[in-house]
Amino acid sequence: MTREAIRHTIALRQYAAAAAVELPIPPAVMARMVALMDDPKRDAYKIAEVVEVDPGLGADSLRIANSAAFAFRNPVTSIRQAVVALGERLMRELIARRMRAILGRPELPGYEMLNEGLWRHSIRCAAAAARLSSRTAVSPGIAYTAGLMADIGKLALAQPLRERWDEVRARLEADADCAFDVLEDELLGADHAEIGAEMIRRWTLPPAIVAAVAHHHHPSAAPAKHRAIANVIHVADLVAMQIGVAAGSDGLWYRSDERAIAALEITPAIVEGLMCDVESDVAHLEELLSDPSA
Amino acid sequence: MNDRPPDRRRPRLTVIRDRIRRLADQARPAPPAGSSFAVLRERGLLPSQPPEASTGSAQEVRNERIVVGVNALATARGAGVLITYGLGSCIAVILLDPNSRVGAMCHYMLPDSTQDPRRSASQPLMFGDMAIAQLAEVFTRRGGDPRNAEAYVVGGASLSGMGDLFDIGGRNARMARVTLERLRYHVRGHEVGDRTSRTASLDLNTGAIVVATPGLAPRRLR
Repeated sequence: MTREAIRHTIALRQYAAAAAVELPIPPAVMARMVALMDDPKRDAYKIAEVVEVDPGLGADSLRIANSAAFAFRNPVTSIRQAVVALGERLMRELIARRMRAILGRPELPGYEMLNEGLWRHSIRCAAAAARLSSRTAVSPGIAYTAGLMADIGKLALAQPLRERWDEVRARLEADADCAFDVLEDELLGADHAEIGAEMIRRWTLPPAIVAAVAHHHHPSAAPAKHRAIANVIHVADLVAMQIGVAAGSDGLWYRSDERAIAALEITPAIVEGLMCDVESDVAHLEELLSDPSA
Repeated sequence: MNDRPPDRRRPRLTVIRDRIRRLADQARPAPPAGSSFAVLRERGLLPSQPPEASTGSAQEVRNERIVVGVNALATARGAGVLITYGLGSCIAVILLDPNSRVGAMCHYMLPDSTQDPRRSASQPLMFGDMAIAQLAEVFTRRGGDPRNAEAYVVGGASLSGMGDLFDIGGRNARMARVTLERLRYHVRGHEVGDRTSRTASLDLNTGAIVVATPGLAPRRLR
């Protein structure tokens, strides 16, 4: 390891460790749910087993199944019923709501995101990823989870970024073609993608998710076996940025990876269709913002 | 995410079910686009101000913020602030009649409704051409005079280096210019393009139009 590489690794660990102190520890059931989404042999019984263990998840499941978004004719009264009716959709919803406890900061300094911006961007990235996964062999549930977690590293960089904002601003103004993650790396010693991967590494998630988070701004550099999911998260993040609802000070200052776009055979019509679909996918989650009981 | 394959064995039932749904949809007003209540308010289905504002002091009415969500529009007259957050490649179009102090704002995501007839039928405010036409209509209905009206265009950021693929921002901005010209609204100010995210607001108490970008000082368009 060169001296440079060692310094980089130390910076990465420090940021991740500092951010982890403030994070609510994700319940172990979350890791089990994600593992289940990766399991092609799962069925309603297996899902119900995991959900029933945790009283919070059980209550959430019933609330989700009975929410206006699904509008079943008869009220759903048991967890099994909820699982059978919604299947993987239910697990995605449960994970999105759990992640809100982590990402849903009212304000994020540095990136200057307001009104739970990080969570709102992340649910869009997740929804786009689940839809894009059908263009690959990646499972939609895993793509969804990776999309949800892609920008978690911004939690760690928010404060350091605010402290050096003047330098960041000057660099953005000097170079119209620069990329924000490259700037983070140069000024702060690591970028939000690698820090995010470092943060979730100890959550015992499938390695594909960690790799996709780490490489979501340069998927072509991902190891070959995780390249497909990295491509998916990369394009999903660009689509969410393009919608822009929750963009921060980093705006659209990112570079797209041509090889990822070619690999997924993305066309302008696909991007536009995705933007529409994503907005309708997340509409009911957005309502949580104004509903304190949810 | 609801992408179950259609049931091929019983196409007829699906057709009938869809027809019933469509009829039911026509019978009741469509739900609001995005997360905003602006559309509901616009259709007179919600009070134009939250209850606390209507029973509250004049000060509260003056400061009332009407948030325009994605693919939604809203109007206000005399007082209040119209605001829309986080314009990426989306566009906000603002119409203002300074004499009658009627203001209107829309926030759309895609340029051209003719590209997607199915979606534009259910969500017309998603597309620039239709959103601006509706905006002009509600603006006049609320008492705005098109001859006095000033138009402002904000947003349309792009990711660099991707040509047409991610240049929805540029196409959105062109659609705003073309449509406003066709409807004979004079664009008095704009801040479009670039790679930044923007928040646009119109304060009807003062007529001020402000564009804010995270991490930068806000700019006044008016």
